[in-house]
Amino acid sequence: MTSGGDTKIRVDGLEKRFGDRVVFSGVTFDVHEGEVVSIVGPSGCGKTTLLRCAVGLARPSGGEVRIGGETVVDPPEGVAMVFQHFGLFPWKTVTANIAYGLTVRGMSRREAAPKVAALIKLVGLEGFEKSYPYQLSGGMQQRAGLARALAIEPSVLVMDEPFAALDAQTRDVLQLELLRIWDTRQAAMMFVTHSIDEAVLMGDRIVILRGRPSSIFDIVDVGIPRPRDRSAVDSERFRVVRDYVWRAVMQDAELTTAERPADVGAIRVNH
Amino acid sequence: MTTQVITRHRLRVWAGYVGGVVLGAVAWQLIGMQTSSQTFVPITATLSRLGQLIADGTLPAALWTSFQSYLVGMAIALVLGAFVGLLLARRRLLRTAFEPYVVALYATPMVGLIPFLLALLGFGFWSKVVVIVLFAFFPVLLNTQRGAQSISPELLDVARCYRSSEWDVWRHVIIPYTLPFLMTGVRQSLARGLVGMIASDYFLSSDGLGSLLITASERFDTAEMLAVTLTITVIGLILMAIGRLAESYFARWRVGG
Amino acid sequence: MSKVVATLTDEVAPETQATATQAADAEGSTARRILGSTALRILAGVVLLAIWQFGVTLFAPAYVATPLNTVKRIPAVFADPAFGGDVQTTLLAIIEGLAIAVVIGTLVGLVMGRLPDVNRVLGMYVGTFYAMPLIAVVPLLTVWFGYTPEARLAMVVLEAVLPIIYNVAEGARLVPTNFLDVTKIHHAPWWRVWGGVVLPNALPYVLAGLDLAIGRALIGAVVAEFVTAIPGLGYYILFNVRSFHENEAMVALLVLVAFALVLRALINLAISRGFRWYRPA
Repeated sequence: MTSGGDTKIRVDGLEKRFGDRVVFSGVTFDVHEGEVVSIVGPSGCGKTTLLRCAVGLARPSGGEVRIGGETVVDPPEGVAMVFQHFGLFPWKTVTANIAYGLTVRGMSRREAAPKVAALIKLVGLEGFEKSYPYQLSGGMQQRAGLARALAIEPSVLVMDEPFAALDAQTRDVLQLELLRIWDTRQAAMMFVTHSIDEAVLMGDRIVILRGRPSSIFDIVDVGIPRPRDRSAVDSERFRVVRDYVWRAVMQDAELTTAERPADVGAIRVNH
Repeated sequence: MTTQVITRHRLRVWAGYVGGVVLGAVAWQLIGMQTSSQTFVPITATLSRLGQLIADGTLPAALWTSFQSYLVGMAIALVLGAFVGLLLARRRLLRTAFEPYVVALYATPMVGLIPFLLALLGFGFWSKVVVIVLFAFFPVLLNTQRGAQSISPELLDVARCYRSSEWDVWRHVIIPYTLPFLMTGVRQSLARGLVGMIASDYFLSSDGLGSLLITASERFDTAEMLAVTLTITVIGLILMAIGRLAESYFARWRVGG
Repeated sequence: MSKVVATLTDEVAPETQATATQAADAEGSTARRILGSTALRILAGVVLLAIWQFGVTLFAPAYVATPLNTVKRIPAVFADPAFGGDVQTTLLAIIEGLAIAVVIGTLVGLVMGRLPDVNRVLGMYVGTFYAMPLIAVVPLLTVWFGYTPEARLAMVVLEAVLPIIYNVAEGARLVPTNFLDVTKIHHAPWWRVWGGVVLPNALPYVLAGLDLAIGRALIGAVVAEFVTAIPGLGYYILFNVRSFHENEAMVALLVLVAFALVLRALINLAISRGFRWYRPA
């Protein structure tokens, strides 16, 4: 069984069309309080669009997303997003970028300062408070992006391929950092990635999208206990889950959900 | 070692500048001394004529008249250009409808309109302002539009995702992103506006810097023409320096800002 | 513990179908969009012209140019041999000036771009003349050349040569180092380096400079004609406005605009067709 308690996010029969082109349809799953759900699928399957619908940046063509019981229309309070290309405002310093969510909520610079300072420490950006994004490496920029998301103390965190624009080494480091940070402040999280290893490492459950238009092929339980660290990658469990997800994503036509290893299933969708 | 190389390089750069100025001045002096005073005068004669023009108040008065219309015209061009530029950038319908006409008007030699404006508005301050606005308006408009149109959608997503109000989106995203582009437009407009100022001085008034040049040419007073031209050149350089400063100030967040 | 909520819709068959209809539909909607925006543009143009037309008829004296009257006067103006002569003189003067400016500008620009010391000295002056309103020297030119077509030609050359120098110098500076390394390895003589590598690389920059030069050349020619009152399109405009023939003058202005637009379109076509590798900075 999965971790967590009540349903925080419910994606219900979600469908998105651009013109006559159906990107995905019939996508239904839940994310519970304090649970990380990874979403994987081949590129172009609409993962990012799914996320944008989930946080109210795009309108679904059918179905709905409910966060805390409320149907999402515009970006709701308490939801933060981390973007693939970091989405830092290049004309703002690291401090001002991290404080952005607080600023637009009417907090003064002085009120925000201690909170921002603590976050800068948490993500390891001390000494770069006054730097502009162009002066930072990609990894450091995404650390700032993560801090900005955490600043509003979100109860829902959505990550849109947050490490995809980074080099492999930086990606490994940041994955572990995120796991570490995650253990201290839990929120319901949707984590979109095209890296299967990353999906397994980060997720409590994995939603696998495939097909054209895409839909959910399977939802699997990762079942690796938290807190997790690098050693999780070496576990037998990690290998089994990763192999199944890999075959599913790579469009193994003969693969059916019946082939799912016995304890990888355990799917629970509440209706 | 490296610092030595750098200083030597810097020395060479400065030697180039200083040498260039000295070379130009010497050439000016020599050519001026070889030719009749009607054709060309030495730099010394030009500077002493400049001193006279300043002392007897002719040049300051002309400067003041010209710059009154320049400042008013530039202010109008700036505000109008930025406003229309933002409007065209953020409203696709208007952009589709009017873009070809903006481009065509930008290509129109505005001096050709001066006789029409003279017939319609007559001599004087406001017709000069109109000419300067016509000259200076389009670079601001086009650069502002180009800027505001190229804001990355991800940054707009970020702003929305963090529940920014419409005003917050403008204050934190659209305006800071567009300002460097606007400033590029301002720099171009400062130069074009100056052309408009001289042209309107020529044809739309009997005072100002341009008129000073025309009357001097009618008297074959080359020294005065050179002195006034030198003044205009210095003004042009100062305005460009200001424009460039503003541009780099508002673009300091860009790579190499 | 319910089953997966994977709505496995029939994936294979509809897919191929969908792509086919999609393509057709995309084409249809693109065509519709272009048609729609063209209609919108025509509508906007009609609105602009209507504002001009009614603005003048309601608020301005009868001699002020209107779109309708301008169009009506086109046949008469074009039939007038004097107008034809004026068009010819001015446009030929501009083309001649542009040609001279291309030759001078390319030579000076190449030298400036490749020789940093020359660039330091000359670049300063190019920058200075770029920053000032060049039409300020028209009165001086009338003293030097008299009230003659030569004064106009000199003005056109002066206006046009600056952007060409500037762009060619940029192009010559940006010659890829690999190309120059190749010439060094093969011990190419200097004229092969300049003629075979530097110049071809700078050619699109010549055209880009020429593109910028056209607008400036037009301003130079018209201002020179206004000041010197020598025959040409600019003076045609001045003369006709003064004698309350504004519609005729407007036709002349439109000819100037059309000339500039056509010339610039041709140059941009040449750049995009002839120099696909060229990317403006």
